[in-house]
Amino acid sequence: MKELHIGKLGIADGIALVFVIVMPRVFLSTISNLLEQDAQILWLSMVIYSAIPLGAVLMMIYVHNRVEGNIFMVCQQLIGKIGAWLVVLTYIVMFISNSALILRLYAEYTLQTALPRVEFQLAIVWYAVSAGIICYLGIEALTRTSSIVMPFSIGGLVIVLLLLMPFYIGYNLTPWQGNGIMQAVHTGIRGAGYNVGVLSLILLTPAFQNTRTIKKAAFYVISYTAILRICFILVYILVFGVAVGAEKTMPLFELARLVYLNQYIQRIEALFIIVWVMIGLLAIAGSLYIGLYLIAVLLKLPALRPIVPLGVIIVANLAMMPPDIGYTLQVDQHLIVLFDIGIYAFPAILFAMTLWKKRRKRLCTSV
Amino acid sequence: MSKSAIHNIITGIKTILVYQPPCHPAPFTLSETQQEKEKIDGDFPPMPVAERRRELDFMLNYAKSTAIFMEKLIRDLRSKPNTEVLEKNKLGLGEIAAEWAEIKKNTIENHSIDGMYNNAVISANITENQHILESLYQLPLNKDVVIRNITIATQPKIKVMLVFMDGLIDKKIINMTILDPLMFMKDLQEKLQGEDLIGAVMEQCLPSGQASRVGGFKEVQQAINTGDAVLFFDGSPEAVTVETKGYEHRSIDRPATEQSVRGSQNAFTEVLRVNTALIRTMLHASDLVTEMIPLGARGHSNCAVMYIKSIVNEELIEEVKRRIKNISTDIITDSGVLEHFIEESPRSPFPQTLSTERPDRVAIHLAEGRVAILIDGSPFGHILPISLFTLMHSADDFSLNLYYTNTLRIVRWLSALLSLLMPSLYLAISTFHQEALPTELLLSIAAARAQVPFPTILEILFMEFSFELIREGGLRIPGILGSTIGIVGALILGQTAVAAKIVSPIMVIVIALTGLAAYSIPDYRLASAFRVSRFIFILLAMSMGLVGVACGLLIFIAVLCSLKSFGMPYLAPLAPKTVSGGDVILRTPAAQQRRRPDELNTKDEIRQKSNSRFWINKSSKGDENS
Repeated sequence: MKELHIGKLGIADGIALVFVIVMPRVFLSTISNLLEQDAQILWLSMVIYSAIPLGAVLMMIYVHNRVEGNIFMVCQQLIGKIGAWLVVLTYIVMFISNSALILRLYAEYTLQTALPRVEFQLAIVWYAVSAGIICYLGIEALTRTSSIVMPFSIGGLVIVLLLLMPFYIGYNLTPWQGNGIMQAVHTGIRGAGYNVGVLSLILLTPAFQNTRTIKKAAFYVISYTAILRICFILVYILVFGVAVGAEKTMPLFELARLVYLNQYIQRIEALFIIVWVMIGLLAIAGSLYIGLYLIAVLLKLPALRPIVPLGVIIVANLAMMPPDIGYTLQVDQHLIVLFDIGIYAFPAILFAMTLWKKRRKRLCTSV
Repeated sequence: MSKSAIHNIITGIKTILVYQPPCHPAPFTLSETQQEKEKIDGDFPPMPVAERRRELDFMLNYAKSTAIFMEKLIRDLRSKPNTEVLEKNKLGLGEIAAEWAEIKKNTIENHSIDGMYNNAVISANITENQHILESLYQLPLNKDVVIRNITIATQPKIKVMLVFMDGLIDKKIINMTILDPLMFMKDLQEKLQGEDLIGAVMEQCLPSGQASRVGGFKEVQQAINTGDAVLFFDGSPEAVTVETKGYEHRSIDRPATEQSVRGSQNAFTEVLRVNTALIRTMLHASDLVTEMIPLGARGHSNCAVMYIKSIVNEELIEEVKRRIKNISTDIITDSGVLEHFIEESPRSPFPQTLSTERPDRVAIHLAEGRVAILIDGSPFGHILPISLFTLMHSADDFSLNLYYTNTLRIVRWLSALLSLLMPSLYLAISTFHQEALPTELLLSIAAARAQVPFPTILEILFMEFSFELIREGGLRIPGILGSTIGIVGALILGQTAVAAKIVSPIMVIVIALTGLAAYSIPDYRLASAFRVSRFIFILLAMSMGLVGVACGLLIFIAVLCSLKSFGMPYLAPLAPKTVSGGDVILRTPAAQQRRRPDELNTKDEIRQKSNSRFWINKSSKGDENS
């Protein structure tokens, strides 16, 4: 089969792609929910929840170094055709649903924060079409746009955190154990699925220059996102404390709203919308692209562009399905199980199969 | 068996349903490997016009029927008396003559005689050559072309035909370097007999700087149309082109659109050879190559492709030449038109080449490993490939102080952003996100808008339209009146619109600032692209406020990321990240710009030594400092 991509993406592209898929949850309610579970020790969960996906990526890189081809070919060689279909289909569901969920959540929060009078369907369609256009322009445009937007979003986030310095209350960080170290470890292990976006590097292996590029990109992006998340959580706790922070549905928006240095530097949340929307759109487009790429690989389609409008329609319709935001958040909580399968089960199975095949080959050779 | 049948059905359905992309060749991209390829000689572009093929087919059929008829006539003549045969075949001869007359009529009516004779070779018969020239140049109707028949004093005497285009040649050169030596050549009487006549004439009788042999009418036309004279010798299937160019042209002037405070003050003119010479005066490199490629099936204008052989990527050169040679059109007289024929995305509003009228700018970019394209009749050259950042550089960036230049560059980038986003941001914030404004400013805007009956979007569109009107009017009104009317128009219109309460004063400020910001973008075409995009942003802001602007900005960046200029990403070295040459958004000191831009994949990546200011290590007395 002719590959849909040729290896042109570099480390910066990989970092940017994963960053935009993984980071938007900082802007959403995920941090508040986790804070309720772990309290002040949430940073430890973040460390664990970043380390586990790195392990999964390393296992998959080991697999790709020994078995050539795209994810479907690799799975086919290791676990057979049915197994390969199962794995790829699961990843498709994972990324498409992630895209739909982020789309729904961003549309909801847009209505709540920026455009209260806009029709809900219009917001969904607006985001979906915008993400579709970016997808249509291709993976290079997507990753390069992400690499341009990423420094500005990090810069914006850091500025907001720094501008809040007058509101830091040091004793909000105590007791440092929060709800207990074991609870944090449990949350970290359970929440690792939220970082499933890291696997996009593996799923798009043919698009990257080599596995060394993927390894470096994964290492850097996981480090950056972990540091950013930990800083964000610490500042969030410093400003709001655990009890109030756990109740906020849009942590970053609330932080930006709190900024007040003088009459000219105050309430910058409206200006922050630009960065917020850009990251959200790229996350929707990134997840959608990976989902569509996997569909193209699975069905051996010669080109990806013609199915982009189809993907946009599916994602927009999926996003409109939940009746309200509460139900959407429930679905998000349940979907973590599927994400965990993607991050734990499949890489482990593929890694084990590679090891087993390697050992068997060695035994056969010695005989 | 059943599995195979099902498989066949599924495959059949898939073949029907699944979109199959068209089999286009892979788009050109500059790859890392630099392969030396054989230099392709500058052949003329193929003649793909269907019309010509039809004509040639017709001519071929005509020739075949004539040949059959002639064979029959010869057979008859051998067997029967002449008069009887002629009487018998009179009808056939009449038909051939009528057919020939019709061919001539059609070709003249369709103006396609040119295509018919383009591939013709020069005949040994000078009269036949004259007929072809008369057909090609519509003689004697056309008074520009002069055919001068002379006889040169050899033994036996040889008829020579001199052809040139009046007005394009220098008559003194014709008289002194062609007619005078040929008509009074006494010494060659014996030597020329039985030898290479043309070679001897070229060696001994033509005191011209450039004279060359040609064998086809395409080259002949090329020479005559560009101001050279062509000599045809009776009995020789070759002609000699002699350089006699002497047409009037504008002298070298100061740049009109790329003025600089401290840089060079020369600008290109409409004469290709003057322009290539201007570049050579700036860049005295021996391996600076100028390849000439003829353009246009009828226009026959020359296009010069210039590059430094030891630096430029061979693949890039091949690609540029391939694109130029494969243009199939009648005439290209302007570099802007040529650009549309060779760029990757002609529908994109963003320029994919750097258009400049400054030879110093061309020289700098050639030394970086880029390619320059100049065309006859246009005072603008193209530099390629380029990135967005190249378009934001100005001509005297390197002539001014480092810090001052960088400050100016920051101002330029901010103005570019302002020109793109300012009206849309104002619209979005004032309509959807009033909370983003400080209270005092919000009250001030509200007070100013209180008496304006129109919504902000109408105000913006009205003012933008007025501004564009003034700009366009100022350009079209001749002479100094243009700028005066522009200023007066803007002042009066702005003042009266505010007084009439059609627009608010703050809107006048927004639009005026936006307009000024657009003018600070160094490249006119880039400024135009930003101006067009601005309207899209205004519509997006009107629909979804800042969310719309953010979506638009993201798509805008994505479109730029997907754009390529001759295989080079448009946002390189930012996206994709490559090693910069030290001159992207800001510039480093010239002495520290060690490498050429990585994205150009040049043969020689290093521009200068890392310690290019070598004198620092030496004392003023000449010995090395430890």
